[in-house]
Amino acid sequence: MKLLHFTLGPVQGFVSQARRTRDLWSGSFLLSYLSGQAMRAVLDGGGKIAFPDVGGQTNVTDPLLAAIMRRPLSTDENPQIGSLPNRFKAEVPDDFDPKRCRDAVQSGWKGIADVVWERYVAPVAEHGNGTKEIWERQVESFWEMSWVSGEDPGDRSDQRWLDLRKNWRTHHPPAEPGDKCTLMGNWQEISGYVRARKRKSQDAFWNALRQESGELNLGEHERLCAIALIKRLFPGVAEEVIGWKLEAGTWPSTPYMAAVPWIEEAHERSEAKEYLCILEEDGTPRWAFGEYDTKLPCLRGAGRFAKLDGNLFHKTALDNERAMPELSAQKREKLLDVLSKLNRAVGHPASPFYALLLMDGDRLGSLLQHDQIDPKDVSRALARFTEGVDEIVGEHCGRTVYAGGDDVLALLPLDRALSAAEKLRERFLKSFDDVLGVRRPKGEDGEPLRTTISAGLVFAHYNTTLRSVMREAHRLLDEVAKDKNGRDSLAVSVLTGSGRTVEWVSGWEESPGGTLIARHLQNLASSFDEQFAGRFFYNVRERFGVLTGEDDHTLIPGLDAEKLLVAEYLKSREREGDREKAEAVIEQLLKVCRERRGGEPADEGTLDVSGAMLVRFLATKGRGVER
Amino acid sequence: MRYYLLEPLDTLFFRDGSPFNAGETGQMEVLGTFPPSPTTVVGALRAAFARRLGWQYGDWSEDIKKKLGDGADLGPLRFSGTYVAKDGEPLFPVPLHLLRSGRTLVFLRPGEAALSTDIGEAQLPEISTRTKGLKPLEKAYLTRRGMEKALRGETPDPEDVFEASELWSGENRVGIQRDPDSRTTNEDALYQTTHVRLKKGVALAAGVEGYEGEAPGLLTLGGESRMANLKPCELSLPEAPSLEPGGGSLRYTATLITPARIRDEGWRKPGGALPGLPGRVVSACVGKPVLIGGWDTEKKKPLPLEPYLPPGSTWFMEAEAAKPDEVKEMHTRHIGDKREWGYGQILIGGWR
Repeated sequence: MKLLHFTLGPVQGFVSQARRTRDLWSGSFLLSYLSGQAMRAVLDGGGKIAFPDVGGQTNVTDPLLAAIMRRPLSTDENPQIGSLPNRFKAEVPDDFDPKRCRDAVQSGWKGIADVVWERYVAPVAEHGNGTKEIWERQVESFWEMSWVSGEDPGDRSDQRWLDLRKNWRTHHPPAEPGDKCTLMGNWQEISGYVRARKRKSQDAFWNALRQESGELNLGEHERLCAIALIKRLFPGVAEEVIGWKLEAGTWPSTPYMAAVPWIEEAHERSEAKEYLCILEEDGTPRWAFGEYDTKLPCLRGAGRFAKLDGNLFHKTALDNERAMPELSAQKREKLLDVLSKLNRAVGHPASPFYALLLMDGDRLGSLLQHDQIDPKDVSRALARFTEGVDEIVGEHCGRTVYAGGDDVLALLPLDRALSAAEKLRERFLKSFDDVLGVRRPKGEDGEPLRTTISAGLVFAHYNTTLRSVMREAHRLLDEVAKDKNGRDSLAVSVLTGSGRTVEWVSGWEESPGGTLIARHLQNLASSFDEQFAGRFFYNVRERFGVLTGEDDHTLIPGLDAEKLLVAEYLKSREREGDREKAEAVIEQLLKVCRERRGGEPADEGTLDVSGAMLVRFLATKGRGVER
Repeated sequence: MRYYLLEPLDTLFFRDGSPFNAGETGQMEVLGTFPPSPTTVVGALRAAFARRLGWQYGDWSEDIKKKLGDGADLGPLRFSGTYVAKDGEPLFPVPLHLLRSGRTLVFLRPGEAALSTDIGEAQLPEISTRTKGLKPLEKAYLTRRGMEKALRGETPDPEDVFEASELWSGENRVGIQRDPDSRTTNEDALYQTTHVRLKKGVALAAGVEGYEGEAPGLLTLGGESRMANLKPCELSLPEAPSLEPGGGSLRYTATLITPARIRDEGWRKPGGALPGLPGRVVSACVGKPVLIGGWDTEKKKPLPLEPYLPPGSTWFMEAEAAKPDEVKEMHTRHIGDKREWGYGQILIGGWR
């Protein structure tokens, strides 16, 4: 037997280039599915997968791989979540040719591409200008696959093989002429016409394709490349090509996800019923029930109101004729009126912000190379972690986009995202504790070796492009939580249409083994009322930002930040100030306003106002006071 | 070669390839790239030279074409760069075989043992230390002194390394399109672009051969016609180290300092070759391709978006022991497509 390390990409270039939440999911799923094809080639070739832990040829335990092997698990017969990472390690017979993995991926991909072509594109291809050539070029050359194989070196140095291979990037996409895809801007859109010269022909092609695929699958201004089109349309042909149904229609839109906490409060009010009545007074409009079943646990049983298109919960979207062109002016006015009443009844309008959470285990490569850790234990711990992800995300009323290996990507409502991150981390730590137990070796510092995870959490306005949100999540995770803050950290930012307004990072715990910092944030957020929070924190930023440098949060020596903040708090409260209460609040606030590297106690000599600005955001939920 | 500094008087905007059509998909988002491709800078320089020669608008006169070429034909002109410069001194993309963790800099070198990979039996680049957290400096630049040390196989001082964030920063701009007649806002015409603001003392630089006229002074550079001041400058490229054969062969590195489009497959396989360079490829550190396109104003259509090898990419080469002069001859020369535009400029270094 020899070892094989295999990787498939591009990951970010495929998954992150999304316009709708369902694009994110379908990109992740498809990538995972194709990785599963390569794994299947290994199993069929007499090998076994050593990492991740997916079980063996006869007892595959990963639901996606089991379904790919046509032996679906009874607990998850139609897997909907990508659970297989894009790289794996296998033990293969000496005569196993790794090209079999590449061929399996290409053939799985081409199988999907062919059906999408036949079903949707072929009927309109004659309206295009070289559509077939563009399609074939892109389908053929998209995936990048690398592998390294050889005898087991016996010292675990094989864990570095793929990283070494990545030093020499050899995959180049083909030259792409013409107009580019509105989803994946580096690829030509498949009509083949140039808009500046043949706008009408281009529109005719896309209108024809829109008719074939349906408006829901292809938006008014979308002109896609083959890759983006396959990502968008393959759920519709999944049953035929992969053998089971995929439920693309259940993906909540971003305005819907933002409104979730509000829908929970609003759906039983009489105004909600009145709102529905107005919408349905002359028949049931299909377009209005765009979120027919988002499968969000907290909204189960919330009735028809919870099935309304997410735009209908936000005044600005309802007000926008282009966002809701189907509404007559008269009806729009009536709905706006009832929505205002409903907002008053609930006590506030829906927040326009939702959360995207990206998590990733720290230093997995080193862990797998650690000479006192059995790599099988790492695989087992990660499998245990992954198994529990969807349940935790569901408990927080979110949707898991992806959960495989040490990675998680999830959509969550604003008010439960921090708690979800915290619970997922807890699960990660526990999975390793359960598996390693007393066998956990000591690290270089003589302390038990830590197995940690970091997170990037973006609170995004529902209008922000998903691509920017994904880019931000990766930046937060890789650059801020991991590189800058030393891993074992949580990095959070607030993203509006005009850019980032808050960026904050901290180790997970107040001090090693201490209270969780996300809990402090939540407690603080609920202790401020919306109006006061807006005013007080704005003043804090204005006045205290100058006491430290912009990039350096070191306080002027001898300055007592706590006293100053208490004074500011009391001043803002004016007559109702209570010093004892103020001191208690500020003590808590300071806990989230100190620099705190992963796994270390806070640096008391620092003051990072962004912690306060994050509390302000959470307290106001970004409703109307976000600047 | 005469060198010029292009000092921005404002932010600059060089768009990436994403579609940018008014009235579509709500708010459009267009990312900026920096530094701009040689094509962009050459285009701006030629337009500025043409203006200096009396051109205002429309087609160039025959006289101008004789001096500045026509379209893709550069006539007598030859360019080098684009370089990033700080305080009048050029900076160079850090070779990708140089890694950093904190203040520690370490070189990658081809491993002793060959591994069986999808590109064949390869001595993949690796590090010999156990220093943690080492990463390639993909967005960083070296001073000339630092680059000369790196070419000699000596570790540059941390002070010789500048992160991109020390040289420029991105600035998001939200814009709105107005109807010039009614002076009202067009519907659905909100867009977002990312400009770059160069830090104090930072500029672009380029070399020009074949244009003997006066420097044009002000010119427009990149998208949204932002202004830059063009002024002649002295600029020296790093010197080549001495190359010493050992064990019957000559080992050297070739590092790109501008993007290259090399059609021959040799760059991506062990045992392959690079155009114009003696010997064979032993190993390489090559980054993800950069995609370079543009707009064909004559034909009113986008130029193909093509993958280029990124600056900093470094090949470890092995040649016959008797060829040091032939190798050194290639130092600062250009390889691959569009050499006269400044693409594919390489520096020669040593490795053992």
